[in-house]
Amino acid sequence: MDRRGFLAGCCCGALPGCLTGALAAEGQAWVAPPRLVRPESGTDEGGLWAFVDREETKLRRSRFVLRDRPLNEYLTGIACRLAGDHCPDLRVYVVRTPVFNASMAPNGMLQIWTGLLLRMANEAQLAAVIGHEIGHYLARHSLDRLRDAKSRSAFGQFLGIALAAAGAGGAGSLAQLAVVASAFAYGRDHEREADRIGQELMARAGYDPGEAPRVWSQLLAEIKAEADWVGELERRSVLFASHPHPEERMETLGERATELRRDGMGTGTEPWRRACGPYRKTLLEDELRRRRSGETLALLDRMIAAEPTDPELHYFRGEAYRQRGADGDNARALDAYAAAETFPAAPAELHRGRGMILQATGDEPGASQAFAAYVRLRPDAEDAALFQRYVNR
Amino acid sequence: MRNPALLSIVLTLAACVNMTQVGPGEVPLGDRLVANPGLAWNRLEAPGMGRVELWTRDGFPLDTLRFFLGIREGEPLVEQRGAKDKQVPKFRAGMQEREIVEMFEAAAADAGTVRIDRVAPASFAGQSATRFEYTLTRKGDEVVVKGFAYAAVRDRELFMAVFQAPRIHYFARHAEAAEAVLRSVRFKGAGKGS
Ligand SMILES: [Zn+2]
Repeated sequence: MDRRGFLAGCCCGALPGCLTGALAAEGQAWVAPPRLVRPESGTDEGGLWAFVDREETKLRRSRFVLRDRPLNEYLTGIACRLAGDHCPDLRVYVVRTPVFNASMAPNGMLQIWTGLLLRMANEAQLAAVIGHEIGHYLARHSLDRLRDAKSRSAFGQFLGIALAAAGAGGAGSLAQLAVVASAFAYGRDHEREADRIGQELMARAGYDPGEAPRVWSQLLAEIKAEADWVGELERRSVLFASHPHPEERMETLGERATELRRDGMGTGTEPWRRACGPYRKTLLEDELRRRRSGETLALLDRMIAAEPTDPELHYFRGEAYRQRGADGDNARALDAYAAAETFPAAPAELHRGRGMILQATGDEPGASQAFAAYVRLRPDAEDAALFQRYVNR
Repeated sequence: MRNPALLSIVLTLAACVNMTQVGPGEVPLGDRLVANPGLAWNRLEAPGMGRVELWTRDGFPLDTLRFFLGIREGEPLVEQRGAKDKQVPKFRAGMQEREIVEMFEAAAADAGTVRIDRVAPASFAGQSATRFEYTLTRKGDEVVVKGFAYAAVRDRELFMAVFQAPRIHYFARHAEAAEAVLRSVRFKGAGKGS
């Protein structure tokens, strides 16, 4: 499930008769339900929990889960600030996949994929996403979905696939997790309710609720940039033809942010950068390999606008342009590498990228000089031997 | 495919898919190359393989030796399902060594989390070439595999061979034999002493 899948999932066809009982009428404060108790094993809800418990057992063993304690404690801390009394029931898993996705299972298993982590500008934005997922959890939307005739076949299919995979043994597979995630694609009313609860939780935890619509506008900007790049302008209209417009959700979130905003609320930008900083380079490398140049460049433009003096971001922008290789991209890449170089502690790899472009444009001496700089700065680089050759010429 | 044994059965049972023993001795590789493996390998025979050959010792996907026999200008290394044309890197005759590795990385990233461990100049089929090593955690079955590859460009076409096997047991078991096969590859009509 990619980000389009996320959108499609979160906006997928309206469910009739969907329960909104837990949600107070507009204008009233929402009251969180008491902690959820494990359902009886003989019930449909019990079966659902048992199933996701097994999925969680596999996820716990997955090689794609980032287990570093500081990061996990930090993210769990954010989730707990939002969940309040429900904190002991949540378990956060950071899954290394360069895809924008988060999901919460009815048993409290909360997955955050690294493609989402990379795209959040601050704690408040992540809080908007997690709050939304906690909203689905507290309102027990998965149960509605399980009981909804329309989605029963989708669930049946997903249980079938999961059971077949379980029969084959082995650890949980990422492909399977995507299937699980898609089974929890909710309807329009559920999404609206989760949006509302999530933003309320965010505000109560002291996060600026204005960051919630921003998550959407960022995502839409990336999708548009990618559609422009691949030349598929139809893509969006097809995608959203049968779904409520994300613009509408964004607007609603924006309006409610104005009502919910209070003095002293923050975005938690500094702690976010400190906590995620050590992972950013790896996540950006994963991002580059997706070859979604439109999305990646929109993401980097946004990140650079927020942190204009960060050399690593300029370097990655150079890499994205170099790898895209459209008309004028060589010059853009060289500009980006040059921008990176003006700051202390610029990544040595910028010299490699520059050398590759100079080599391609026939500037042999320039290329040799750049490769020499790269090898001198990173003699232990995995590809140093490759460039040593040019230097020795 | 979670069960390697099952995949082998599926492959051998399917009517038009066969495994043929090749080697020891001279074996043609596509139209233009020839290999001289010291051991017997199993080659997958199936329609629609194009200019790709798949060899194995213990069976797919325990160990896989994959030959790309002449990727042409504008062609991708592998088809990527669900990706738009511009999202798939294509081979260009003027590609630099590191760019060929990047093209491979993008294709491998489709299958899981990839890390390039080493890239160095080498020779392959008598051409100056690039040799690289990598580690891939497959998202399908979460098996960690190791691999190495040789890539060379001749007459504006990319010739590449990739050996890959699970890091535990199978890589070590067959890496040397695979390396020997790749060292034996030459263009037809070329002298042996390249
Ligand atoms: Zn949702």
